[in-house]
Amino acid sequence: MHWGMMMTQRDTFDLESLFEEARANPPHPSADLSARIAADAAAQMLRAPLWRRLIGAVGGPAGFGGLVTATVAGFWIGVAPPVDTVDPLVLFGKVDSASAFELTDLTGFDWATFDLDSEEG
Amino acid sequence: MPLLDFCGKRCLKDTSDHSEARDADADLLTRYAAGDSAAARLLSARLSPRAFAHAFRVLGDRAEAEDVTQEAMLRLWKQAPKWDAGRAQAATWLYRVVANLCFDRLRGQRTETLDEVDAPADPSPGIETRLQDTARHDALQAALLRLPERQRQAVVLRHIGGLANPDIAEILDVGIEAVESLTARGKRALTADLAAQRDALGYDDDTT
Repeated sequence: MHWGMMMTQRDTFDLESLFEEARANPPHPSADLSARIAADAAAQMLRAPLWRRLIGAVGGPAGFGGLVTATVAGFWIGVAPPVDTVDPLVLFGKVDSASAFELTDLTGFDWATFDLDSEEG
Repeated sequence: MPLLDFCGKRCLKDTSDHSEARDADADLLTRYAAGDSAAARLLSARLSPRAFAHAFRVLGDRAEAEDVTQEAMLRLWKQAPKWDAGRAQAATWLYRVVANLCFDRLRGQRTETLDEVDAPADPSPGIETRLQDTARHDALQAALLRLPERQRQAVVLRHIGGLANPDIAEILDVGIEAVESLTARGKRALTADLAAQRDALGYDDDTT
């Protein structure tokens, strides 16, 4: 009988509703805490080394890798341009086609200018 | 797979939400590490209220809970440049730091109390009274503070924080079975404690 009463009392105790109330009313951090956290975040950001901030500015390691690839590719295209590269001067309408022969007019020099040996000889 | 058996369908359903949150937090951490201060504000707004709520429930003291939250967030800022997005979810990682800081504080409080045993009578209120004051005489909070530390953390994470057992296992660095056992024992102790309080105070009049 006594046991039965205790069981009834325990059963009527609704722990779940207390949890629910606690979930519905979470304690709110103060504005002061938010300010302290923001100050820490700013201080840590300043402490990051310059190279890391620079890499971060171009999008992290992946972005930095992309930059390196683009630089190397651009350099290589300059060193060894593909045969059918479109000449930028053609695009601007300065010349009709980009043959080495016509470009001499623009530079004012011809290979013959440098061919000094043949004239002297 | 025991992990799936344990959390069941709800866990599977939550997976997409989980990974979305993980990606969003990881993205914000990358942006913060790159010098984006707006990302820091967003991260703080997303993560710090939950960290604070947990610390407050476990420690029962606002000032201590705020200190713990600030310290945990500071560790997150320091971790941001080397954050591994695939490894951890920021929220779980932060809970883990908060839980450990809470354990440290509680251990500190315990030694403090032991030291005070032989000390001359102190006019300032004892630690129990102070905790009860700051917890605004919330019956559940007072009972939580009487639970053993690990049970307290597990119960708060599961039933107030609403976290899944596998996450709690990671946060408290125990197995999933241990989490089940901690929360079950914690709930039994809470029920007994609260029922005893109610009987002692004689406000059991809900049978009428």
